[in-house]
Amino acid sequence: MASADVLKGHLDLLLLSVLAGGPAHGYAVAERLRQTSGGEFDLPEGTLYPALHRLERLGWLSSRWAEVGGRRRRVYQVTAKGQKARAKRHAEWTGFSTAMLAVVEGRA
Amino acid sequence: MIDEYLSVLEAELRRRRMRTDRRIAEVREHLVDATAAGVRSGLPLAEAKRAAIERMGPAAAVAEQFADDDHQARRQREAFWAPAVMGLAVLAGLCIAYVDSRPHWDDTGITVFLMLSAAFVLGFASPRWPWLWAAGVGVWIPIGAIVRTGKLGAAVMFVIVLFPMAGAYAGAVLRKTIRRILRGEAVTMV
Repeated sequence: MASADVLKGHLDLLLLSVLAGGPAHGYAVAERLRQTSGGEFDLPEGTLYPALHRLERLGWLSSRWAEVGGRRRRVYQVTAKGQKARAKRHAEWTGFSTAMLAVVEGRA
Repeated sequence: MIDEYLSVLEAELRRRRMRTDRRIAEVREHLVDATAAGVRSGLPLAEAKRAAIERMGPAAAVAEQFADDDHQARRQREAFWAPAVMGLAVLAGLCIAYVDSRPHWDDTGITVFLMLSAAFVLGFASPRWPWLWAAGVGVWIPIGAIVRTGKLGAAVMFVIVLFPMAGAYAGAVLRKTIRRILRGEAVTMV
């Protein structure tokens, strides 16, 4: 399982990517992340809401109260600005991971 | 158990002068969901609640994380807008310096007022670097004087940067005061 520190470094990209799959409330975001990663990314939940609020303040997410399963939940979704930020971070991550693998695996 | 946890979290958020309503509501709903999931997986109710709270983390740490992320978001936004604010400061400063350099213009009071108010608006809009906005507004008149006269002695005119400096800091202080009032903080006038 990935450590909390490793996850935290990529939290923005992970949250934007999970929410790119459709609007969701916080608990559903954590569940999607866990399920999509096959249980590898088990986010420390105390970091989830601060990060969602931060991304909203940056204009990358928007949120609204909605009835979900008969309960009032704050539902988040990615904005156009958030899509751009996600694409940029995705490209950065791809470049970084490719270079990292090349070094770690000793490829020329 | 969950209510106790939320009370502590609320107190920790208030101690950090943060709004609580939405944060507490979201964490409450999350803990309710996590407890239900624990019960579904076979845990007794009390154990499921305890596990949900444990996964959320200590209330003080969660509040600290909210404060950190809040601060980080503000810094990121300010850094994003800084070049635009600086561009506006330079533009305003150049316009004021141009008007001030016209031969028929001799109203120093209006020049000072324009510099002060332009810097005030910029300091209010972006309170992180008021000194920078003041410099952007204020340096052009002295630079123009040095270029026109060819004398470094004209550098004494840099003292007029004090006016936009006062304006920019007044704007920044007003913005921070309003932010505190909106957060429900007590504002102490010293």
